Amino acid sequence: MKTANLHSWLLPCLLGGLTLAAPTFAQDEDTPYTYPDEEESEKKSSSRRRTQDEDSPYAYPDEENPERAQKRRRRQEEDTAEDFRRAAEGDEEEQGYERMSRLDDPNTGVAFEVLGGAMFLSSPRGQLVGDLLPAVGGRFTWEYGRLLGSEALREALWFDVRYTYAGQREGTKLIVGDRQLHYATIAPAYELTFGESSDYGAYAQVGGGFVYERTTLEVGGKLTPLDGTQLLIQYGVGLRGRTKLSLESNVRLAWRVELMRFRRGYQDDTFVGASLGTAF
Amino acid sequence: MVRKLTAAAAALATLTASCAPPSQPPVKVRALVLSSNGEYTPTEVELKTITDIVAMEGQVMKVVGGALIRVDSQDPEFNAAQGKGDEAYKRAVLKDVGRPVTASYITDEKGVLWPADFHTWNLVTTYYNLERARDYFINTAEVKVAELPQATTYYFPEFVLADSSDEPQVDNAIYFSPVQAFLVLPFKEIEKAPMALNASILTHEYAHLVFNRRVYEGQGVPVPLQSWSLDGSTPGLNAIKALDEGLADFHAYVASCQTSYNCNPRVLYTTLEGPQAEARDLSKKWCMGTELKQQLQLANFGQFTEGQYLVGTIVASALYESASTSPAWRQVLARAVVAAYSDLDTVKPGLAQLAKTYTTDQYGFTLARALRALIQHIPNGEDELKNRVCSNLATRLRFTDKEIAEFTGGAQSGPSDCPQTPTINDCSITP
Repeated sequence: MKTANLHSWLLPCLLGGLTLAAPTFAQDEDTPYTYPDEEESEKKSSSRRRTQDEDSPYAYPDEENPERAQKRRRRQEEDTAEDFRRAAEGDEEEQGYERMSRLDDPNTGVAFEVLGGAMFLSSPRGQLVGDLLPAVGGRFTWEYGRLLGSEALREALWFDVRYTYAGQREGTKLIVGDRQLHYATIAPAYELTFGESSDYGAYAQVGGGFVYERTTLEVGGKLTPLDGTQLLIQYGVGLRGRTKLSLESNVRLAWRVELMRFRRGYQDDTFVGASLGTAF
Repeated sequence: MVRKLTAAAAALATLTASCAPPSQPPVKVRALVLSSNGEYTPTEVELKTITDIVAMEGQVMKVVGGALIRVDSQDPEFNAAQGKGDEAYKRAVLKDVGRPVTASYITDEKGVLWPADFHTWNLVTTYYNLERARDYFINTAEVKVAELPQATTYYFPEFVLADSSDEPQVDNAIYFSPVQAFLVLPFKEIEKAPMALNASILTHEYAHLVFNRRVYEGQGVPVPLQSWSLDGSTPGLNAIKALDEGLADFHAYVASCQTSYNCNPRVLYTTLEGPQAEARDLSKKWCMGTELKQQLQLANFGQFTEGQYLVGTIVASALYESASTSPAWRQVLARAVVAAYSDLDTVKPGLAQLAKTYTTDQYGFTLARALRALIQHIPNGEDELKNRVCSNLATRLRFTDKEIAEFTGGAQSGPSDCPQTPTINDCSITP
């Protein structure tokens, strides 16, 4: 044990510390209270302050002209309040909103998601809702409403660039029909959020694109491939969420549940599914 | 900007929402056809009677998917329909009327439609096979077009015969007269060509439709069959069902001679293999066995399901042997068979008239009497053919003296009967 030794240097240190701290707390009545986390900067500038006149502005090392520095400081003070003032005055409401929204929501409004679900393919067997197939894919979402500078449209308008795949293989051992469908679409959407500034909402979407279809007939091992491309219309509704993952990060969990229809020529394919991804 | 976007959206909508394939007949499309080397090949064909290539509807048939047909003697609706006519019976068993199918195609650079999925291949080939079968009956067998109106084909329906099993029937293609329609059932065990792709099987089924229209006058539940089914032993019902099956196989054989594969005496070839397929090979010398003959006379129709096919194959193989060497004879015999289905001439009554005559006494409706109608409808100038048919039928069916008398007309024999007493030859293969 070296307790005796510790006591021997601890007391002088504490006393010394109090002695050095005394000038910091000895402030003028007009000087605003300095918070502990500002102490460091205060300390750094304290030596310079002592060399200057009390009324003269602080002279930065890179500024020789004190008047110019004073003007700059005033301007900075004005700038910090300007966004709030403009928004409060309402004479530049939209511009004010835009500035505020960027302060409130620092996200860029893009998302990447993987999706999966059930595709009810237009049925050659006359099934009521179509032939059930598993479908997978992915999509990129951009909230382009942020560009429009309108509070109402900021998060209400966005669009998807989407890819979906569904495959079907049916037949007997001798004769098999193998079919692959690749859907590529761009679809703008309009979303109604559940309350002001909510991260959740319901949306409707209409867009277009094309489907690339590749089909192969197998008869006794002999393959006869054929492919084709067709324009399509995509439309549907869904629920969308951008759940915050943490207070410190801009990254959010993007998810959706949707009922989407693809009309290709005279055929209708219906997708019921969900997606999960990341929003920034 | 908004106008441009609206115009672009409208143009896209027009492009994507239309574009249904052409349906003005003839429509060029690929179907799976049995080629000369015995392989199914995607072959360009013309559907001459199709009016809607997407819903697969035309003069020959219209396709209905997703139907539910349930025959259940415990079903109150079914029992209430008894005796109220075909429409009531049809409504009672058709639990879900189904809906149109949507065939899918890719168009090649020549404008020919290619089925884009397995079921569309199956549907297109079904239509093509039935169209060819209808052509055969109109052009070769001389059935009038008016006798062959559009039929319904229930594609992959749920077909339940509840008295035998609650499980839906599979692996079959049927002409089911109570609903006046073809049923192309789902496949489960079939590993080779599905039933609908097999032209011989569909011609066989189309022959049942022709038989129903002529012999039963298009009745869903024919009166003679209703009457005969009430007895314990049903020899008349067994005989007429065996003839229906056998003559359908013979038509399938004759029709196959006009295909690229050429004459196919094995109806089930390419779909089933092994003993089941061999048992329907018309080129084999099938003959009546003692046990089978007893069953024909004594069994109830419910116990004689397999026997119908065995006896039918014997009849068909006799006709095959008689006419296989000459395309002209095949045609003459095919016409005679169809002509024998119904004939109001009292000297040579058809099967329909015989069935009516013996409605209350099915023991009178024998194979020998029914086949005499066939002989009588072979034109008199075709004596050699007629003699061959007489001898082959008498030999294969092992007619007794009493049956020979019924077959030839005995004392009432006329110029249209067998020209000579049938020669009974040795018959070695017994089913």
